[in-house]
Amino acid sequence: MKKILVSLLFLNLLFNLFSYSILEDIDGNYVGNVDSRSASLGNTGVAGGDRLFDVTLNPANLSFLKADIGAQFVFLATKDDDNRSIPMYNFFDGYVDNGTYVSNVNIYDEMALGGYYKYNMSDLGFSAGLFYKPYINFESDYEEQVRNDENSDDDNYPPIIAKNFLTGEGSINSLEINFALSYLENYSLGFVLSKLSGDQELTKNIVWTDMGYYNFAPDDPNDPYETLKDYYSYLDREFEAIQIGLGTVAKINERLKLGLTYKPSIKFDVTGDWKVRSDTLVNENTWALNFETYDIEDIVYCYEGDLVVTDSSATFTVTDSTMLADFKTPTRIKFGLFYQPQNIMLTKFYIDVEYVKWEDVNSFYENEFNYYVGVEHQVNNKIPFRFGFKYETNYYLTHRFIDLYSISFADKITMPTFTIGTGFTFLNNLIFDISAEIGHRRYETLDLFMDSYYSHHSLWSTIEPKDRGWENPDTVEETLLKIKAGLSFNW
Amino acid sequence: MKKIITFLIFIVFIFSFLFSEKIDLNQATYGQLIQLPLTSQQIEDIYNYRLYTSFFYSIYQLREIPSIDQKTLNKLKPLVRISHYEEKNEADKRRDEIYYLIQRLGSNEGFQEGMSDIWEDYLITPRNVNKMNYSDILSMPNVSPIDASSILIRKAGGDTLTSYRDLRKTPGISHYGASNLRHYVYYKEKERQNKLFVDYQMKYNDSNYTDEAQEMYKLTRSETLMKIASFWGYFQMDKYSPEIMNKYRIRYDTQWKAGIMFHTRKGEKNFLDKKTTDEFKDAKYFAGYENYLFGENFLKVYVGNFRATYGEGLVMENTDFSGARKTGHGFSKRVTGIIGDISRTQEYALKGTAIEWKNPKFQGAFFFSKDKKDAILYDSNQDGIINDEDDAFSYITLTRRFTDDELEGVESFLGGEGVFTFVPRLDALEEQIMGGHIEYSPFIGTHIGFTGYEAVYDRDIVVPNKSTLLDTFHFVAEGDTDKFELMDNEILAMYSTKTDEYDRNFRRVVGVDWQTVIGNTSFQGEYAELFVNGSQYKIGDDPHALILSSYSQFTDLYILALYRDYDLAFDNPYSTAFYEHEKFDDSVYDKNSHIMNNPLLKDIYTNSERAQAEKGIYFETRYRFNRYFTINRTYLDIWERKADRRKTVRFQGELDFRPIHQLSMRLKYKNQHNRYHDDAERGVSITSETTIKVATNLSARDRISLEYRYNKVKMPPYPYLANDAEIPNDNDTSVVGTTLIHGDYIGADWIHNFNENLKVQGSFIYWDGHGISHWDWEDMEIDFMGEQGNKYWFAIHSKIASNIYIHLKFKVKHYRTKELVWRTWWNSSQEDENDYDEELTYFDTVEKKENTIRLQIDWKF
Repeated sequence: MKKILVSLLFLNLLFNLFSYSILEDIDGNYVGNVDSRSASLGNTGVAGGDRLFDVTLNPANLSFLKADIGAQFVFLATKDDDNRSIPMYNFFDGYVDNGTYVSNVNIYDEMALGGYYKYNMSDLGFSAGLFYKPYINFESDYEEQVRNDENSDDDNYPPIIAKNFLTGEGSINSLEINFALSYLENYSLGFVLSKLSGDQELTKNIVWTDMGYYNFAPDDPNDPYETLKDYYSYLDREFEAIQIGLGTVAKINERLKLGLTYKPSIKFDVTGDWKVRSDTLVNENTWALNFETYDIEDIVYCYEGDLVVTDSSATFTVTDSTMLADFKTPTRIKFGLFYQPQNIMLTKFYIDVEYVKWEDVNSFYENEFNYYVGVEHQVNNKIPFRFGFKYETNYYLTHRFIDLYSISFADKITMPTFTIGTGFTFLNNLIFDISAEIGHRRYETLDLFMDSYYSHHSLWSTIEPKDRGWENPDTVEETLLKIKAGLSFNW
Repeated sequence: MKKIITFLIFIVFIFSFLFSEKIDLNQATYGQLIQLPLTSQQIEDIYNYRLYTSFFYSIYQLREIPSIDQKTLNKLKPLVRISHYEEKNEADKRRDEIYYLIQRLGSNEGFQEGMSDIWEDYLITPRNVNKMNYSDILSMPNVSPIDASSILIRKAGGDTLTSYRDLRKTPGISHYGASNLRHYVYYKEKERQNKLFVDYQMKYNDSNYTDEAQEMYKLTRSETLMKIASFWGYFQMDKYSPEIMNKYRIRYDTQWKAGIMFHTRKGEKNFLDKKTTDEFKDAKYFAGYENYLFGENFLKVYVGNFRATYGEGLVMENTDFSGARKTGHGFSKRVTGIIGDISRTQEYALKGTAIEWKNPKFQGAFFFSKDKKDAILYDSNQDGIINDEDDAFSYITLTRRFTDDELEGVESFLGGEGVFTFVPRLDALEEQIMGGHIEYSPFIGTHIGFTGYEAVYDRDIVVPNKSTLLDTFHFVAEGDTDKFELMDNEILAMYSTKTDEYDRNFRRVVGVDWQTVIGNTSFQGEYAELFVNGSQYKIGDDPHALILSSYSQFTDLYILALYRDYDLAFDNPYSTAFYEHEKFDDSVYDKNSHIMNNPLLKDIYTNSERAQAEKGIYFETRYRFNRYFTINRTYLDIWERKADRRKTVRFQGELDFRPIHQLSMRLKYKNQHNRYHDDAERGVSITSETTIKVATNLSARDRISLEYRYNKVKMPPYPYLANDAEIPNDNDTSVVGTTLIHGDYIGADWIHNFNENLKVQGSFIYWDGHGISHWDWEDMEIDFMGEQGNKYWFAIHSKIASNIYIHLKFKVKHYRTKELVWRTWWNSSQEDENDYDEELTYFDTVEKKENTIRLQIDWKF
């Protein structure tokens, strides 16, 4: 009986801890374009991209590159500033504001490399390129302290009783081969074939501190059911997929180009498992370290459509479900406009609009548009001043658990981004571009590590920590600073 | 022999160039350019320079092309020529000329919502000053009645204005008026352009809700410790959401005009998430025709949304946006007459038909509007539900227009049936307005006009008496009724269509306005009455309002004096006349919104742009002593608030010292003394603010300025600043006197013009308010800053082409909230160890950070 109870306890922990995720630890961060020049122009360039990696935006851009042979290397660094806060109340118990209780700052880096060759034959031009670049990134880091603050009003320093960790590693990378055909250097048709592969390892830990053990120990050191055990879980997934993409660019006149690109939805082949610590009782006082392993196809998400929950104890109707093994990307159709007017500074103006068919990923998602605007001015001595803006909408799952079911909500989160950058040309064929993108997003989600897990009677004398539901969610503010530096060689 | 042949070929080559026609660099095709003795790269560079940078105005411009050196230029000189050729049309050229003025209009949009479009049209297609009538000239920015009168008197003498220099010679016109007017007029009859003008504007702004709005949405009626129990939590208003506006205007020459505007407020569904029918239902649009007919008779006809403004704005000036001290002169100009309206004004928008006819002697206008207005409804029949059977309480301009479904959902969740007895509802009050204006001008600069309107409603508007409001309908929470104070008489004095004395379905306002110019002084005024229970034809027996003002203009000096007297019961929603404080200032909506039945009622005050009932006299002047010293706009206002008879005096003065052109120093002082006549009264407060600003003008209109501001407020004690009777240990309550709070602010601004098409602006500010709020005029908007914090912003103004402009701004603001202070204070006094909820929500510091982006794109062709 005890064994069954323990199993149920861990099963409950399993479901409670697994899916309360930081925003992109499951879905991954879609890298999109990697070119630093385009990044400084609000990630525009479907029509009129000037750099090799602008083929990521539109494979037909390859035809419009000026040199016959070229290569580009890009280094990307992302600083993620993640602040989580909980609601705070005035002395009337009315909500007044949010107080930050955990702040994480992390830096991640990636790289991309590509090369191309162009051959002109009469009115036709043939181009081919080969690229290796990140497609989806799963990196994430999160650390949270759990303190016992019940005596803090007596000027006692609240001791740390546990630390929570989330660590995501891995990425899906894309090996792409790109072909483009142009006619009279005015029209171009491009095709891209990508082999997407990669893996992900997501670790979730709760580690009790010495203070936690120390507080606990005097209670009953010999009772095995009372032992505080660190929590570990590991998710391993491997991804494989092939993607194609099509694009076209038309030079309408000397000032105007239009572009269109299409990338269909893909479904990855996903394999992997999830392990969670589930110690077994060897004898009356002894536990043996053990991990239960679950195939990811056995882990099911159930969906509830409404975003606003009006009652924390409401009963939910499960309306749809999916598995953790399902990993899809949406269809993306992007239209771009490039305009080069007469201006006392050489000026280029870009507008892109992207249609994202989120319905491909989940029936609760709605299709959305993303908007991109960019301007480049050659201010002085061929030094460009670039700036831009992008407005992107993404969908994520936020989770709620009732017993053993995982109920998910489709949450729409928009992120506006301000971009700026410049570039330098050396020896006519070596170009260095650098860009900065500053984006900010704010959303509500449930507590990542529910408080009831720490509600051990020996740790708290008068308080019984309880879970916060949607009636008191976390508010998360994230500032993302992305720096991209690119080096382009042209011959 | 070989040498001779080579020499001959060279001679032939040179002669072929010398005697052939020179190549015009501005019109040559690529094929013609390659005939020049240049490398293919140089030819391509020249071609691209002309195509993407500039036409050639001088041959020496070729040196701006990196691949063309002096030697090459010398070689090219005899071979090429430069013609006066441009591909730009008249409108594009005009836009280039006045780009800086369009920018300036855009930056003042906040003060003159909707007016910048009108003035921009005048800038693009100026009007013949010799044909303009008095009100046309007066409608131009910064033109005074004396300026307008001077021009017309000169014209009446048979003279014709022929140039700007000629305009400046007009006797009596101010330098300031003439220099402003010159951009909007021309002097000789031009042929009609018969051109189609199309303007598109997109504005994106993700600024946070104001502190006042946040306070309102976070208020909860239940003591629950649940975020979701507030409007803020329920609607997840922490989530990012922008305000987006898309505006399209089209006009054919100056006669035919049309426009449509879609506006999504922060938090509302944008056009992608809305049904098309809903999108058009909330859109603003108009179509209009205006032209001279039969000589000097000018006709305007508008259908759709229009704006009507007359006199001093006492009877009719329909806008959701106004500001304090709108004198009708200088920067706060009131443009009278009918114009098409696609501004963000939503609540007081008029929708229907308007027609206006005017000539130098007579002017007449008639307008009809039928539109549904957002309103506060209340459970007047006390059946526990609020529906079509209930009365309206007031108009309301909502910060965020929640749909009725959303509101019913949150009301049900927060309180259930019957708890909210006052609720805002969209389009709940159908209003049908018929109104008009007639005006007679016996001689130049003098007119008398009559304005009136009648608004007919589809439901009663009833404001109950005090006891019914508080005891029956629980307008404020039970137990807090003593906080409904004297100044809240403003609420009780609001207009009802049904009282014990009468029962009707309309509101009727009539008024008379006048103006006369004598010498260098103009006298103007307006008197208006709201028909309540007096006689329809008797003057003075109904609530009324009066404005009298005079404006004297000298070479380096102007003096404005303005007297106003508004009755408490003069409740005209379409009045945006001069005021010092907006309606309901200091009332329960403002100071004690947490005790109201429904927190959303606070919007009645926060978005109020109407005058508070006040009586007072206002003086304003500007005097330029000499080239070094100027007293900039300086004013003194002494007035009494009618609701509680609070008397206040306010002074603001600015002294500019400019020792050299490049350097200016400004000293500004502001002082406001509330209830100066009675020191013993609780509401006495004295606010003073001193500002020093130093600015240096660098080359190319670059500018750096530094500003320091110090302010202090002496006022009655507030609970969070001094101990009060609510401290748990009642015996510890101390005797407190006047509280002094003081704060300061330091800021640096910087403007750099790379060239005429690219301007970059930046600013850094640090402030420590201690309860005093500061405001900062950013490039295109005002930002209010409470408590302590710092911010920096960076804006790029770029002219991409003659007809495409982009403005992008990025701002980061860090600050602390006021709530933190009293939260900390309370917890430090907390002695109840069993109150765990309190302990769990204790915080030592709460810093807030805002990142905001503002984007504006203008496309005109």
